[in-house]
Amino acid sequence: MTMTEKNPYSITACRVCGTPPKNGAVEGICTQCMLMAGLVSERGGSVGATASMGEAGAVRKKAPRFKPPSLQEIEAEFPYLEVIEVAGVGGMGVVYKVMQKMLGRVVALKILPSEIASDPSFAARFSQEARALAMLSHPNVVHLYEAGESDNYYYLLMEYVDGINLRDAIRESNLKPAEALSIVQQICQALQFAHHEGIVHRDIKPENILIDKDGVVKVADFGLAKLVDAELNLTATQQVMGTLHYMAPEQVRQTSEVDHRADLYSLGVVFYEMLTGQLPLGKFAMPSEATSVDQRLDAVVLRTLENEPDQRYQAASEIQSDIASVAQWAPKKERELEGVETLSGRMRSMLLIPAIAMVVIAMVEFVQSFAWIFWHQDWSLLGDPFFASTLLFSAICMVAGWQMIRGSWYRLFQIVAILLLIKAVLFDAYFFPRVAHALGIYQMQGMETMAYQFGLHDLLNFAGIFVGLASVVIFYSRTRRDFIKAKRISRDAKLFEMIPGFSDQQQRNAARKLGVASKAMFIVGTAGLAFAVWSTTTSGPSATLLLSVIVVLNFVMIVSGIFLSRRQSYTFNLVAAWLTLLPFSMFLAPIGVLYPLNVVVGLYSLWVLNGESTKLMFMKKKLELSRSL
Amino acid sequence: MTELSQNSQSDNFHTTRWSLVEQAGNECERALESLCSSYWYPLYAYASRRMDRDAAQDATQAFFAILLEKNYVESADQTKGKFRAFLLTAFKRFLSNRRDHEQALKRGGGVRKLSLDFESAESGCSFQPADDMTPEKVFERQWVLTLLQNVIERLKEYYTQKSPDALKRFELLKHHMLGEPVSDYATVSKELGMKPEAVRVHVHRMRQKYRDTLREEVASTVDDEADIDGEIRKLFEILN
Repeated sequence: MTMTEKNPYSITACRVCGTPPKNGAVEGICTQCMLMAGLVSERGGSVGATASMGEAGAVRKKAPRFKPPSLQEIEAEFPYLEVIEVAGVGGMGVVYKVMQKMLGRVVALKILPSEIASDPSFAARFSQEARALAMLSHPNVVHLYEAGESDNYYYLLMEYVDGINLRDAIRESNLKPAEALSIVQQICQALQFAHHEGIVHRDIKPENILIDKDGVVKVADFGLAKLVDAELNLTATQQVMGTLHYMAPEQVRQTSEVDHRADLYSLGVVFYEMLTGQLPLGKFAMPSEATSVDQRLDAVVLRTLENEPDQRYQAASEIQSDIASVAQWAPKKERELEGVETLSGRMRSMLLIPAIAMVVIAMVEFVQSFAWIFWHQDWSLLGDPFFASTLLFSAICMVAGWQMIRGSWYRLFQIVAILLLIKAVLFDAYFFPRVAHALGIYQMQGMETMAYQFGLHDLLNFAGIFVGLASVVIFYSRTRRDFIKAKRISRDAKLFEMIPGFSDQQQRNAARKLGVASKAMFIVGTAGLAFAVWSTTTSGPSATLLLSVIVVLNFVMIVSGIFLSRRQSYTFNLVAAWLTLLPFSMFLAPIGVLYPLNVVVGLYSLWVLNGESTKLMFMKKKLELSRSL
Repeated sequence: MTELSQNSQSDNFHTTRWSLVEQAGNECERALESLCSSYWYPLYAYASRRMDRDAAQDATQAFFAILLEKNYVESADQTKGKFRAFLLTAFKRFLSNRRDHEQALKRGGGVRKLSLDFESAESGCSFQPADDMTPEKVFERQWVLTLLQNVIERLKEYYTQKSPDALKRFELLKHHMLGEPVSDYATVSKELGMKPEAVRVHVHRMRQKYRDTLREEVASTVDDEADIDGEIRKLFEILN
């Protein structure tokens, strides 16, 4: 062992404050920091070196007004309990860690401040409240075993939580955002349960939130604030000023009736503090500005901290659901978005050669076609459907290939590549000109000479086949599937970012529009189907193909109507809306009158589906489904 | 230190050492001896600032030999106050009257002797004082360092006695206990084979234990428990 290893006193920087120690160090930590660690007060935040030295003393002086009974007193008063130690002293009384001798079970004994016993009406309210609290049996709520009045004190016998409170957890270890989210979600579960039972906590603050050794959160002192507060008027006097910071505005003002939404405000303060280490006072910074947390949490936090209870979340479960969404998506999103980046890069490089080839082929074909026109001075060729479609297709190929080279419009390139393959195999190489010409389907001057010579045209065909095949193989490989999935995830993630800020008003509007679109689709689809059936009975099965197409279309409309109301399958609804616009029914006499209606409904549905709110509605539904699985 | 920890009443003894000195009997002698063996080094640091090393060692040794004669404490100090202040005042007085004391020593005083291991102490708990630092400042700063070192020693003993597991936990978590920011409990928790949440609880408890031990250690050097906060505040001022 070298000297430096043995000697932990000569260090270059303190492990706590990071500065070089001026006055020596022990265990790698400078003497100032070591003294400081010994000074952190029981209840307040960590005590600064100089300015807050007085504060440290002050905190101690702020000990409860009533003198906590000694361990001997407690043992005398509760002969069936063995007192182990004092677990904590607070505004709401003293807590002892005790053992029930009979059961060998460790429990927490809370002695309420003796002043409260002076009020004769207290006994009745105490027993009433205790009964309600006893009903609160939830894994995230500290369980109440017994409550009563001993010779000198009102007491509560509660579950003992072997762990630390959130105040200490925040102070002593930087909570990671993921931990903070888990803690808040568990508090939400406790609150949701209690609120459902009609019990408001009224004093949610880090000191009342306990975390056991398994990381399970337990909320303590439900409803106690109401009992003790009224009796001692603690808010004004004894209770540490800190508690006020966690109170909802209506609770501080005491102007209006305080309901469960006050707890949600307090929870918001705790949440903010966990994320940033600060209290949301004055013009506070967004959590994502203050620290590196997910931006989407800002909206959740802000909404819990609304001054007006009506503008806050209305239930703890709503907060939990929004946080769950963020928690579920945040890590996944990052990982998978990263995947999109690398995947799109890989796709791009793999498709670069086919894309360049496609542009070249299309350009040659395009130039060649025009050259043909100029050569023969036959402008009428432009009106020829086959010739024109070849020109058009070449143009599309150029655009798709060019966009692919630039790294975008994958989907278009995919479709065009398939079409190119079909065209090259079926039309250019086989049907045209050998078969097409032989069958007399198509006549074109000079075709014979070209068809039977190996020339540029054949070269283009081979190139086209190569491009098409290569593209299709690449697109249908695993890479492509991953790519599409990742792309969808990135799109979903983008949409998802908006969910927490999705207000009730927006949700109601979107729901209304979706309702109208759904009903319209369903009704018009059903009417179309009825018309179609009716027309077969009247005019006979003359136009079978057209009729079956129309029947399918109307059926799709009906299904879309159902899906829209259930917010299911966004893509299907989108396709259905487009199909509604197809003018097939124009060609069938009696149904034709419905076509304008189809157009109106289809356009309306498209408009609704295109709205961000609607997309969010579908997203939310999808998330809820995936969570419930 | 090790001698003391073997004593069953060591905890209680620690907190009351300085106030015990007032009383008569064996208890008092033992208390003074234990205090001196815990806090002799700052005095030596003070002496080294004023004279060369050998002279400083002699002076320190001689001083404690006299100090351990109970008469000296009583005669030297009527209003005892803090042990820290007492020790320095007495030492200063001793140095100025050195000759007298040396005479006394020769006449047969200083039967009891404190064994001071200068060698190992110097390689351990010391700091590099700046050149312009007065001997008093050196003493005070060395005092804080010694006190904190004692606290850590006592904690180590406490956890050693508790269980090997507890000692291992202490060694792994002591920096967090002293306030080193925790970025991740995952690695430590793996090493300890427990959940990160449980590690957090342990760190919390250790910190509480550290706080209590520090207060106890400070208490052992003041004669009134109410002075603990004042003394800690004073120590802070010393460092600033």
